Amino acid sequence: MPLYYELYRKGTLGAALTDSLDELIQAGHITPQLAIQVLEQYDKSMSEALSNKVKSKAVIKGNLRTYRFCDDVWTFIIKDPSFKFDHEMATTDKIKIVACNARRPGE
Amino acid sequence: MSNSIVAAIYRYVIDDVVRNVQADFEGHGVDTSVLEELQRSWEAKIVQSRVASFPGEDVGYDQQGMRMNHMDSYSYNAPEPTINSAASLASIINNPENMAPSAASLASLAQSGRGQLLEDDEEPLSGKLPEDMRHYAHHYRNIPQNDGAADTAVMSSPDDAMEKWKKLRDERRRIAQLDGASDDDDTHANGTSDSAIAAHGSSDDIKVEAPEDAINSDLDDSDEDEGDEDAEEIEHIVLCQYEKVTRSKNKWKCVLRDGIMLLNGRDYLFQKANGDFEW
Repeated sequence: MPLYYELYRKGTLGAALTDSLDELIQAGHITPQLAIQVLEQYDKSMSEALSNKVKSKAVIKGNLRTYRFCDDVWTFIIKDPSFKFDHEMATTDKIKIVACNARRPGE
Repeated sequence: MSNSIVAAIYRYVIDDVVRNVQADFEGHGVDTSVLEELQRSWEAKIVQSRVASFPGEDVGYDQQGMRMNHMDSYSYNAPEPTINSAASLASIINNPENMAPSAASLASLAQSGRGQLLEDDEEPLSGKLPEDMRHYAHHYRNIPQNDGAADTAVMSSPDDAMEKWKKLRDERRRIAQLDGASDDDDTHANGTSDSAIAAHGSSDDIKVEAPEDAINSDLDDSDEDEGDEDAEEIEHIVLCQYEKVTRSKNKWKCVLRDGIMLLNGRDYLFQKANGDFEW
């Protein structure tokens, strides 16, 4: 299986899957090995869905409070960000952006 | 709207994952019914999270969901989504006699077009199956790999796999505990100690981590605790990939793609996002 970023596991869907898998492990219904395989499949499915099926665009503005570039991963903490989507707006007090390199090493 | 596509995309991802891990479940000798339970449990958690409006849960919910996208408070009165799935998972775990899929879950499976999961030749499960599965899980290490490529080659032993699993699970909970209080006690304790580590960077505190962390604890922390100096406040997050990050004086421009945003209790997805930030 080609490698996909694990970053999306931290999203709602990945977190819920992790919890559900954990319940099945605790109940003795599946092994951790199988659970890890399921998460790897999730990495692939989610990455492909985002890149092939999602068409919406967004603009994010705000004050950059912290930035960090480590291990090819950018992390930004944005204060008072505003978000503009195709048909809606949103604001919040603070948001963290974690971004992996869209160009994987060797690509 | 980037929120309204969330339900469809999540639906797609769930189905895609379930479809593609079926062979893995069979390879591990795990019954299809466990995969069905995984799917039900997973879906129930997503519906409960209310990060998007999921069709079929409640007709009126969609409308309200759309309206509340305009970032105002959480004041909508959508009815509690039913969580039959979670309940049925619990009942199956606690009561092996209920292992056979209930009529209700059969109906919902058929309705959502996933009836193919329930193959005709699938026997209703006997009450002793869970025990068999535990037995199997327990003796998994003794079963030789005779079917070609070793699909679990990365793990040298089930114990290693369990350690790896715990690490995966705790890491994601620590970073992405987005729904307020922790789900269970040990996670809470873990989260507390982790923020202590982030705050002090003391090597003494790191010992709280699982033992296998100890050797590389300094390195691991620098990776895992990114942004944790603000972790106590932040519950809004964007997970994405960057194409370009440029800076001119104090102005930053980022071209981001393939993102999931968790914002004000809702999820948003984007194919592309431009970030304009001032430092």
